[in-house]
Amino acid sequence: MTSAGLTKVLKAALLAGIGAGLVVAAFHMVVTEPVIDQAIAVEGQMAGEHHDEAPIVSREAQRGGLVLGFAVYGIAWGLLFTLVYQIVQRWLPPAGAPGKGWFLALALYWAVGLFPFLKYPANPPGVGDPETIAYRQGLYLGFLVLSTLATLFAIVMGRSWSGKTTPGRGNWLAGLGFFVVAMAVLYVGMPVTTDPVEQPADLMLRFRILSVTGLTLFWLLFGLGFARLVRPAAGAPMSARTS
Amino acid sequence: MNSVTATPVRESWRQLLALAMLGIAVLYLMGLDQGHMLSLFQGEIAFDQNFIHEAVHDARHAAGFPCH
Repeated sequence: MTSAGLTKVLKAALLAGIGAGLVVAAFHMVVTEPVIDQAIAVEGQMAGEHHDEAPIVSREAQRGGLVLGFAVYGIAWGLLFTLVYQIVQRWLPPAGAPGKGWFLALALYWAVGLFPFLKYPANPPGVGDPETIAYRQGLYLGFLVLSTLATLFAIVMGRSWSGKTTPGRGNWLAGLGFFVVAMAVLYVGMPVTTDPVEQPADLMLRFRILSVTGLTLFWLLFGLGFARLVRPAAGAPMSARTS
Repeated sequence: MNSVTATPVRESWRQLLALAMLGIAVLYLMGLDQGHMLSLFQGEIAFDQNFIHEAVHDARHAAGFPCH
């Protein structure tokens, strides 16, 4: 591990993260904001006079916050991607930094995006008892951490006992087996949240489809951006790419 | 640049630790904070205002974080 390698990975990951975050923010600005507005209107009707006081941040400013929030989201995952890349890179496919980056981006898409979404799907405003927010955040964060550790461990398991070039088939199967069992245990074992859903079913469905589309877009763009940015400069030998 | 000289082990551990702390802190601010951060400066009122939560509210919902 060299510091030059770290700097290069960090730069590529931060830029990829911010870029992906901004594109996803634009996506949500166009298609998800109307759904959030609708959900807030429903929430307001249900709450009645309790929600009369002026909000600390206006709806207009919250739209700006959407962009800011996703830029910060991109920075956070750029930093954490770099951390994980540095730790597990020798177990990633022997495909050069762009290929390794793609693989890790897809692994993190599963571990911190899709899988947590399947267990604890995103909710529009108006869902969730504020009294239980700390509990739900704890569950969500715990799920993210466990799902990431298990996914990374499966990758290490699938490759670690093999030589540097070709992993044995047994290892590969062991890694896959561990992955499937660990994911099943996590999915079934982690507690469900039971807050009442008080939004119309079609609004919930629309919001969730848009949310998971955004997550997918984020990690695909992240992988794409990272692979492009981390590639050696022209003239240097091209690394093998994986699709 | 200095890809020939390997970074001392202790130095690379420090880098990883810094990355982890910074990454977690940024993710916390964007996705989880419910007033604790600003309460360091504003005191108790930060929990009522919950400014960071409100500012990045829509991004939290869209990204799937539990919000309220």
